[in-house]
Amino acid sequence: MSISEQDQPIVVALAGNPNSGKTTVFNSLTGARQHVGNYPGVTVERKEGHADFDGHELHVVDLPGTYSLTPYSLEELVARNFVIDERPDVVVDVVDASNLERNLYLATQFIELDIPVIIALNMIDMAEAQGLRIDAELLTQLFGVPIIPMVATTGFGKRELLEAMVEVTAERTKPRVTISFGSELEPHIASVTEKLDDIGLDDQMGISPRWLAIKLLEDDAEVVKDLRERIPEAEELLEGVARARRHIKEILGEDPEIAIGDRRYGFIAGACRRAVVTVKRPKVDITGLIDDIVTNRIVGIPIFLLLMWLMFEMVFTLGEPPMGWIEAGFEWLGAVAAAWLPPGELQSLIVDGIIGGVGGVLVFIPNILLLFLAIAFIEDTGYMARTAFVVDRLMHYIGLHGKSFIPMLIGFGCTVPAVMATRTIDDEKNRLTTMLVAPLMSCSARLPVYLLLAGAFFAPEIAGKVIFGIYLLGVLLAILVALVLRKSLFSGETTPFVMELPPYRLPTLHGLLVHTWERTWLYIKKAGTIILVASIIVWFALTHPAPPPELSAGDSPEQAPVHAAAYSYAGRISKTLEPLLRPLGFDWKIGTSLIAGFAAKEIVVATMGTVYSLDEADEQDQGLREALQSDPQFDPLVAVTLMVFVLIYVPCLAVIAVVRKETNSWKWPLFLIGYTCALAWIVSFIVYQGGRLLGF
Amino acid sequence: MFGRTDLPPLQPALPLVSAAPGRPHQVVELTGGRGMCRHLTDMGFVPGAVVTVMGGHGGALIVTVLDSRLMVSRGMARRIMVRPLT
Ligand SMILES: Nc1nc2c(ncn2[C@@H]2O[C@H](COP(=O)(O)OP(=O)(O)OP(=O)(O)O)[C@@H](O)[C@H]2O)c(=O)[nH]1
Ligand SMILES: [Mg+2]
Repeated sequence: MSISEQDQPIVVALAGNPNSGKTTVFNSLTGARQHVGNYPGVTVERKEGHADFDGHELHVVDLPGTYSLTPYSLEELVARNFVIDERPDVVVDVVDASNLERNLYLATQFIELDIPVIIALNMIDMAEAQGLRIDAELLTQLFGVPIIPMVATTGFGKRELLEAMVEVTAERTKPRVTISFGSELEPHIASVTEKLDDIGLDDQMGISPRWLAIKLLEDDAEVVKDLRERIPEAEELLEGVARARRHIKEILGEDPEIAIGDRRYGFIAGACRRAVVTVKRPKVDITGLIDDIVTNRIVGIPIFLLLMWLMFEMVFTLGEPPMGWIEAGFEWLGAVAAAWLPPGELQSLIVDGIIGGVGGVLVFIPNILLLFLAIAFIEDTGYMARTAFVVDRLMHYIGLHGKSFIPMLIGFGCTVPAVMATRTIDDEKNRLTTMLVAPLMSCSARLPVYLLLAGAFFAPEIAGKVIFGIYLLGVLLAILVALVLRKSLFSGETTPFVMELPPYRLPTLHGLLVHTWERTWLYIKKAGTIILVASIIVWFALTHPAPPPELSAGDSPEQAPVHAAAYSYAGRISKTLEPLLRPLGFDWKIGTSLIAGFAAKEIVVATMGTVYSLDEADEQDQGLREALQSDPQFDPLVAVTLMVFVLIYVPCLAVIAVVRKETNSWKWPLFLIGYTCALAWIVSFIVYQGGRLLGF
Repeated sequence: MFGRTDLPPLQPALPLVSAAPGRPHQVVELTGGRGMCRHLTDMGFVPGAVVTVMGGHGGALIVTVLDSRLMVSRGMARRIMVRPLT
């Protein structure tokens, strides 16, 4: 190997079935903290990282899970394209040892591809718990590729894996075994391979012609497309392939792709019969037992609702005391800053703009932390995938299927990953519908708004229920909008689907804490960056231009801040929107907060923090909640209406950007902005006017 | 072997949706579009594979195949033809 070659980092692709532990391996190798979870489809985009080992530099790429090199959904295509088009130095196929036969199916396709590949036999601990003994040595011989037993969660086998990567890359070791497809299929594979060889495609594409031949016989759309683009003789070749396919179907009585799959499974079954011994079966099937209960026809949905309710109750009640402490801390900080700094612009910026704004958002860290803890629990146990099953029948009424529910649930944390998670939905219309309603699932950024308002206007016993009600309203609206979309823009049949349900696992404390902290840290970082900047802008817009002295001459101390705000940029903008805001019971303060909240929902809280901090004529320290309570404009009904509005209207700029990226057009993000604003106004109008009529 | 008469007659194939829960069945045939058949094969529903319906009433089914649990929508389960194993 020449020096220059050694300088290049080794490119390692981590591929494998969904939920086999690829990201866990990735994190272990690179020290990254990419998201893992016990359900298929956690990773939908490739993630890259670095590792150093023994003087070698490794460039590690974590891929979405895939069952086959012939992709069925978008995230599978991402994985397939990386391996085929970008030619990593070595592919590590991470397989779940406790689910071996299914996982080795993809491995056979890597062997067909004839590239340097290593099988990481992950989750050996789970396999052992199931009473399975796997003879890795024998399996290595049978598959002709290095097989490394490992436990990604503990780091067992990591060193061996790294050594194997370096060695396989250095020697460019290819699989030493060719999987035979039997006497009926082999002649056809051979003849197509020969034709490809004649064309000299090998050199052009750098891909094993045998693999291409197999994929052509399987009628793989990607390979056919690729071929048409690359070689002029494609049509002639494809005609030959079509003839071969017909012939195979005639003699075997089944489609070639099924026959080919069958031979792969045959090879695997043969190997596993020899290399895997069941020492003793576990006495009880825990996963089966839990499933019997949580997926039960009658209690399944009530259990789900109960869990959701418990989650929000916990977020509210457990989060309340520490929230109070932080709030007190910021009040103290504001008072100290006000005492130290001379009155004027700087004092106002720091006390009203930054401490009032950013502090208002940071106060809710304990609740956010608890919310993420609950979500991490749902993700890590394996219950996440079950919710798809539980709601499947319901989802069918609205023309979606259960699988769409997983992105929606992810939306309770953050809408951005929720939108990305729709990649696992193979049907385009289903996918778009899910993507456009996912923002109605109330994300963690909206929670501070509810906590603030519900906390200020409802007794603690009721506040949790009000918040739960808002979340439920979001779900109901999502269902309603999906129904309308499926009946109008995206009409069509619901597509059938299959989804793997992972075994239940007891989450590790470490895993839960890492998940919770990672996301909470993001929230804190957001407060220190975007929200800080937004708070400063909002503060500026609220305090400039200052009213000329002759206007404010006769003002009492109570009137002065009100007049100043009304004279400011923000006040003027909100004034023009007044006709729209009035029917909802909103004033210019709420209007300003809502406009600022376009960028991110936490900013609604930050803006209120600044507005009310400026408003404190008497410079008496009171928390934002007390300030709201003493504002005559506010009452419980206005608070609920505002929560409803914030729930529904424009998610945030990040969501708009990700919808733009995922749909590759401006049409859908603009549609999303339009419909959410309209819907927010209509529903808020009904809530407010209806509430007033009923005497609230 | 062919002359034996004590073997029970071959049971007729039925779609997976109608399969009796808790009893092992064998996949006989996949019907439906080509892409879908390949996907089913990739997911383990290859002719000859043993599947057992573990749950699901009215909505999707939970089945075990290749030692793992899968959720199969009813539409999909209609395309998988199986025969009870005796
Ligand atoms: N017991 C055990 N659990 C593991 C091991 N490796 C991973 N896990 C768990 O398996 C689950 C799936 O892990 P991920 O790393 O998210 O799997 P993935 O392959 O990246 O999944 P996708 O991104 O959905 O394709 C998580 O709950 C992990 O904690 C292991 O070696 N032993
Ligand atoms: Mg992953």
